Amino acid sequence: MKKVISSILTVAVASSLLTGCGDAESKTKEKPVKEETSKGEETVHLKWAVKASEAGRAEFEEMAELAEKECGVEIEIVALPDPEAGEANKLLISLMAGDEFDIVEDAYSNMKQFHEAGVIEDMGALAENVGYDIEKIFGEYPAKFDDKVYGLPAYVDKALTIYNKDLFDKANIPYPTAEDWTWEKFIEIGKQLTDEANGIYGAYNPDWVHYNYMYAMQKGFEHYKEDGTSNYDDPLFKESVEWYYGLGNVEKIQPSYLVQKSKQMPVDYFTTGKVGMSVCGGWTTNWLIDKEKYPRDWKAGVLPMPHPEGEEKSVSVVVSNVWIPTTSKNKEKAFEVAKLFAENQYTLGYGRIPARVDLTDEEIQNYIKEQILPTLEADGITVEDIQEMWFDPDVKIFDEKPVGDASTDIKNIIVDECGLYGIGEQSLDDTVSHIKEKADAAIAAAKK
Amino acid sequence: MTSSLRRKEARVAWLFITPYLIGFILFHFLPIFLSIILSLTDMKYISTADQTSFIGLGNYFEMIYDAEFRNAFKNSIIYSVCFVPLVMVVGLLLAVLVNQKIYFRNGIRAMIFMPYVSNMVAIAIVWSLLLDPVDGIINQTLRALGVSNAPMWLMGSKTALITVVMIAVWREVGLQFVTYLAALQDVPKELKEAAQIDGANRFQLFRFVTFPLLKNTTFLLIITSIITSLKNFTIIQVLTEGGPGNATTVLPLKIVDTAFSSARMGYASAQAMVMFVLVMVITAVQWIGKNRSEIY
Repeated sequence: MKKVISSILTVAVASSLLTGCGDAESKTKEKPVKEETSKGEETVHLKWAVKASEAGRAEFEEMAELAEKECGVEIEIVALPDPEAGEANKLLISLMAGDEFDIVEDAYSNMKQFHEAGVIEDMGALAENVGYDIEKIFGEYPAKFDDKVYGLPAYVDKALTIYNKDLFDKANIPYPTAEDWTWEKFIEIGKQLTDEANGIYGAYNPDWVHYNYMYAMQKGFEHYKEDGTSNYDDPLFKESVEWYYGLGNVEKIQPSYLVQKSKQMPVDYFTTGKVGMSVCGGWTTNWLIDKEKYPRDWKAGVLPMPHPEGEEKSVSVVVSNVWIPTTSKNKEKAFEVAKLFAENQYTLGYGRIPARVDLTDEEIQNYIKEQILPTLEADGITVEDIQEMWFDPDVKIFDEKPVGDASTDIKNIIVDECGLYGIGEQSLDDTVSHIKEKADAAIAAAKK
Repeated sequence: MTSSLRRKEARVAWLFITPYLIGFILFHFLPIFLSIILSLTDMKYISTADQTSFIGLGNYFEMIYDAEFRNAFKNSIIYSVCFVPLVMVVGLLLAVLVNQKIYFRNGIRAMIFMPYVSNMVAIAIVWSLLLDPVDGIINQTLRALGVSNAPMWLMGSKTALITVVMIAVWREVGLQFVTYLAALQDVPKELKEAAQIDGANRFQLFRFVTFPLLKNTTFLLIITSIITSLKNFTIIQVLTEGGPGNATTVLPLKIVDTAFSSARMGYASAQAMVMFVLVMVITAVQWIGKNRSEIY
């Protein structure tokens, strides 16, 4: 009976969805699946799914060219609509409907739903077939679910502090140093920089979900208890929520949560030149590099992510993985390309931090000097600054987003409940107790 | 009419309605039928349908104990209960006023109808600026008038839902207004004149002559208003995204969230069926009520 119902459902739902899905939107011309090379061999054609907002990136074009040169394949970059919160993920629906894709690159936390839907290929067997030692090259970075590898890490995004040197100069404050860079110092300097009457804030850390628990994570907080329930009744989490909203509401070194929301302040508000410091993902160095999009007449500095006083140095990371959908008909070739991307994307000059553990100190030094420094040295940023910011081997790393049962729901719950606390409509105790209760319910529902 | 001619006409009739029927079956009937089946399962993803189990009415029982669903259901009811009477009354009042010989009448008509054809995202941006609780023009005015504790509008958990309703009424009232205006202009002058000769004052004229003649229009508008009030995903998504907290999370948002964030297709289908039944019941009650009363 169960099997019959399942079969009927699969056929019926898939057929009805197919009428709505059709082929994935492609910004490139349709190409035949296989073409003949000059030597008479067949050229494998691979489809690489990317977000529409990222489709025009020169970096991707270069990666495609690299794959075509090194692996003898033809890469078609297919742009799919960006998945917004609360909306269906077009790539997920396409893959569930059987659309053929060969390569995808996305953050580890975003892969969870795809793994649950059974549309990501286990890379273990593919690596074994070609004798590829994933752990030797990437250490603990590869995307794993149930102890199996589902993605090869192309780069790791590490959080950092960027600061506006001009505002420091005007306030006669010496530039901070990476040594023992703590949140306490961050707040103290933030107070000195803040000049609300002139619209200057000492800091700006936007209202993204991870700021709610980041401080707790640096003190050793985990999202899940050993028994699988949520850990939001841990006092560390409560302290972290109070601390984050306190930056705006109590310390007043950044816009309050109410102001951020009502003004719909953008994440790149730092680039207006009215913010002293911002702690954000490593990708924000693009704000400093892209002078066309973010023109400025002031210089910027960089530091590692601050840590709570008395705690060891730590940084939140987002690992971007290359993975192969189960719908791929050329998995071996796709794995070859995934390897190539994971090992080489950082060499293309876009400020990516390699997720490789096999690189020597010399290789890292060369990488910093040749790839990262040229884009940042106009701001007076040195090799040492970059080394301390991203390549300090003594820094503890933790995932920016939770990955586990109902993690998508949990992120939404934290945003909803903490938002009420942020605008003063709910007490801190009620906030954490609601989060705990709702997160546990979401986990229980996910496990059904 | 001969039977062959009748058959021929019937064939032509089928020819005309077949495209619609195909569309209806593919895009309405089939999805509804599938939703009914899915609502009885614990399906998460289509790709893992082989792991799906039939759970009977389990999803429906779960809704009873699901505080989040109950909150969304309650918000939907509050939204409809506030929206429908407001949009009907305001629409009728505006139509009655503009039906008089007043200065700049055509311009006023256009102004009232304009929000109805405006882009929802643009509306959301404009209202968000006006209602900014920190330094929006409305709260600045209120503070200048001596209001010390100005409302939080879209940012307050107690004010957000009613604020969304007010914006929705402002946007949707154009349809009620235009429809009522057309109906008012159809009221025979002789009837009004006869009532006036019998000594009816302006209120009595409206209460006993004009309003009864608007009954069919009112019925149609109530049905469409109720349906509009339950199809409120867009306006809430662009104005508040269901927040603050869950203050404006209504059924359509909850269903989408359950289906795509929580990946519980079966449970989301059950929620959609509840909403479907709710609309059907309200419409049926209206329909029966209308048929039992006198039609003009």
